[in-house]
Amino acid sequence: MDEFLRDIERRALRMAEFSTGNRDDGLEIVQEAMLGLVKRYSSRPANEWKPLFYRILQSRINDWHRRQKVRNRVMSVVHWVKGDEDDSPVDIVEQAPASYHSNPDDAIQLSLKTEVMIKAIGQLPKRQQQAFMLRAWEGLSVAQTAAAMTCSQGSVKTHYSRAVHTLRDKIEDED
Amino acid sequence: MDPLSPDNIDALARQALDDSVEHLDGYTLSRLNQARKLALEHSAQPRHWTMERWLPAAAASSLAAVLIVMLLLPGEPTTEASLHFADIVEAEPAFVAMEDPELLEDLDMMLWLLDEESHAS
Repeated sequence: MDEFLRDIERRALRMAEFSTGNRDDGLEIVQEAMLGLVKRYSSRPANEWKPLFYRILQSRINDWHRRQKVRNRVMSVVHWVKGDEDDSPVDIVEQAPASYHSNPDDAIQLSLKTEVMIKAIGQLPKRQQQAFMLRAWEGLSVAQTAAAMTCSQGSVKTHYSRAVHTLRDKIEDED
Repeated sequence: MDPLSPDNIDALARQALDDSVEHLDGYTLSRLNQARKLALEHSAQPRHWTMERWLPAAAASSLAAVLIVMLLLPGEPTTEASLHFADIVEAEPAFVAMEDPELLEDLDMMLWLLDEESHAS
């Protein structure tokens, strides 16, 4: 289990960070997912750990987005009560995640091409981003990805295909 | 080969993502290390999937019926079953009364794992 977690932790962090736009929140989500996997599923066969882990990770990410939505609504009410001019609630659950910026503390300046690709992935709509990263980067099958995302296999294929097209368009624009 | 073919996009993305996590800062690596150690300290006892441990009798028999029906569903059993399971759980008063999101997540995961095992065999 230790080896499994060591192997997966950086990719999981990147996924959580993309989704939340925030490294600290990403770290907390990864910690919760690791804890959830070890506490509840460490007795399962090792070949099941990856899809189980990502299922838990996606669940925690969704929880984060729900809490943010509630928080934003509360803040909207607060602003309205206080008479602030901008009282429109912000629905962040379905919005594309905030633009991802590489962490300035990271030890290396990424190449321009890498930065372009990372930025493009960070700007994908949430479901496309999840499907793309689980399939293309983590190597989950369509069925495993569907289980992790709690959606149908058809939806996974659609999200993935759209993500690829979006990324290709963005890369072409940059060239 | 088209440099922007789907396979190439995948490969470029994988390379970019791998590069982006190759040189994480010390603080982040330390946090990940702590998270992993904390998780491993909670290494689980083998779980016993005995319904009586968690569920009142009514919910246990409802669950058994749900699982049998779910595994017999045609189409895409894995995720379709999970989606139907979520609907049924929400409608079943015994489950709603429990209000334990971790337990419900466990049940949903168990259904998926059972389905994976049945496909494998």
